[in-house]
Amino acid sequence: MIDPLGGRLIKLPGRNAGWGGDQILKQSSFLPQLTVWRQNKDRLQVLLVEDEPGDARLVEFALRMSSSPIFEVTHVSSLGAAVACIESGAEVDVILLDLSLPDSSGISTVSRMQEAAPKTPLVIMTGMDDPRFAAYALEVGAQDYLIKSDDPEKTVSRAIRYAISRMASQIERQVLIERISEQQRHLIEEVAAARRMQFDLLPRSERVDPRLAEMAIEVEAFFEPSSGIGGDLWGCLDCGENRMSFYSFDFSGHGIGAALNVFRLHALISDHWDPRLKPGFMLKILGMALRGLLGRGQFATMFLCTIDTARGEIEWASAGAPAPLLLHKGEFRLLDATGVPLGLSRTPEYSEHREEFPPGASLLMYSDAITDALVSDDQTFGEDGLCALVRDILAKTGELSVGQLIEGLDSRVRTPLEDDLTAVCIRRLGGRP
Amino acid sequence: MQFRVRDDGASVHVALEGQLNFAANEDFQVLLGQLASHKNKKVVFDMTGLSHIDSVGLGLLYIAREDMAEGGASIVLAHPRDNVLRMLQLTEAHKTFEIQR
Repeated sequence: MIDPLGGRLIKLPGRNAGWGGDQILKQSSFLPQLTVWRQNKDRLQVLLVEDEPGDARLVEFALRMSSSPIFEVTHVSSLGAAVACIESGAEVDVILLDLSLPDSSGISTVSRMQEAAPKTPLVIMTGMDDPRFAAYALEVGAQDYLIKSDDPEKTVSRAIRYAISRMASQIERQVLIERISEQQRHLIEEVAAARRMQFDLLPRSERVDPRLAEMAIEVEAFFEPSSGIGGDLWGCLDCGENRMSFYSFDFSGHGIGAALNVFRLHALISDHWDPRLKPGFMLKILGMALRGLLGRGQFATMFLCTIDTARGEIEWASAGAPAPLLLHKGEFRLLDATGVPLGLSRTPEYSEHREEFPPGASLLMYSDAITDALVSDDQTFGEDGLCALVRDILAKTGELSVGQLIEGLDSRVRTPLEDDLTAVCIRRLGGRP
Repeated sequence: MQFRVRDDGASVHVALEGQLNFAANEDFQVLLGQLASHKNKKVVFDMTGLSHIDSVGLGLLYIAREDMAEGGASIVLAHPRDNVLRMLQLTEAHKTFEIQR
């Protein structure tokens, strides 16, 4: 019954419209604080470091010829005076630096000047017309160079403008790199935290061991998301008395999207779990609940079974999960695991199955990372590959262990695997395996 | 994954080749764009040349079905083989798609 006053959910748009590269670039703190990025400035402050009065006059004259921008020159004749000028806080847009000064000479002049003014563009003036020297000066950090024999009127103004824009790009690039690595560190920390949360969803020994000990059941499990966090999970649910349920599920895709769906389904299982329900009916409930939650093309395959040690039985239902292996007395076979994956059907129906599961029997649940693993460009490991591997392990040791399975898989398929990998072996102890 | 589309008037034949998986996502979206103009027709996905399908690929088929259904078209999955057939059987795809062996 709708109230005449009505009612609705109002969703206000978030203030951070998105989280991504664009957002990073828009952050004002990102913009490099460039003292040098003044391409459109009409006055540029030049610090001319030159001890030859004749050379200094030539450069000053050449700069005076320019009207756009206007160069305002401060002339000093030693490195010490240049450093003192910078340290006094004088505004300097570019430094023209002669390498042979009374108090310094050669490449060390460049490094000492840079130390004093690391973000100020530097143009080296040299009498040596040696391209190797010029290249070296650029390598150690100068932005451009001038050969003194060149006509300064033509070249000095261009060199200054070039040096300023080159320095600006260098600083911008450096700031970008720092920002990107900071974002990357942040992302890695976030994924690591999410990964810990996902591992927290897995059964914990201290909780399940007492019950497993009562029931003489041993569980060996391997769980490895392919990209930090993933779309797989397995778990166990205590039904009381002699019964325990186990499940494994796997969402289509992997990575963060699939991992978020894992949390959804885990919560749904906790909400809807009732030990009195048959596995197939439980899957139906979960499938219907997930249907409205998942995005287009998303689904989960799931296997759910209940082991009853008093009756020596296992009952199960499957929503298209990779067919588990039932092993007993050195033999094994694939269980019927057909069923529509959770989330793909509005009205899913699942068959209930039941088998003997005496002491010595074991069950292997696994994710499709195993069967979909590549052995060559166009061939997957498949159920055939898995069965061959299990056969070889049984022939060698008489019993299947998950450790051997993973080891054998690694030696037979291309690694690293591209999908999240889960493998869980549930053994009834006692009897012959 | 590669595909070829042929319209014989009554139905549209789409021959799929290679692997239908996450890497096929973009090509498959292009295919869906092309199929959008074929309304109210039967679309036959010929899977003879399809060597593998994974869970993402299966999801793409369900997306295709949803899109086609909006335009009044229906999908037939024809001649799936080996593990493609196994995947369709395992996930009871016949409950959603018409499957021709």
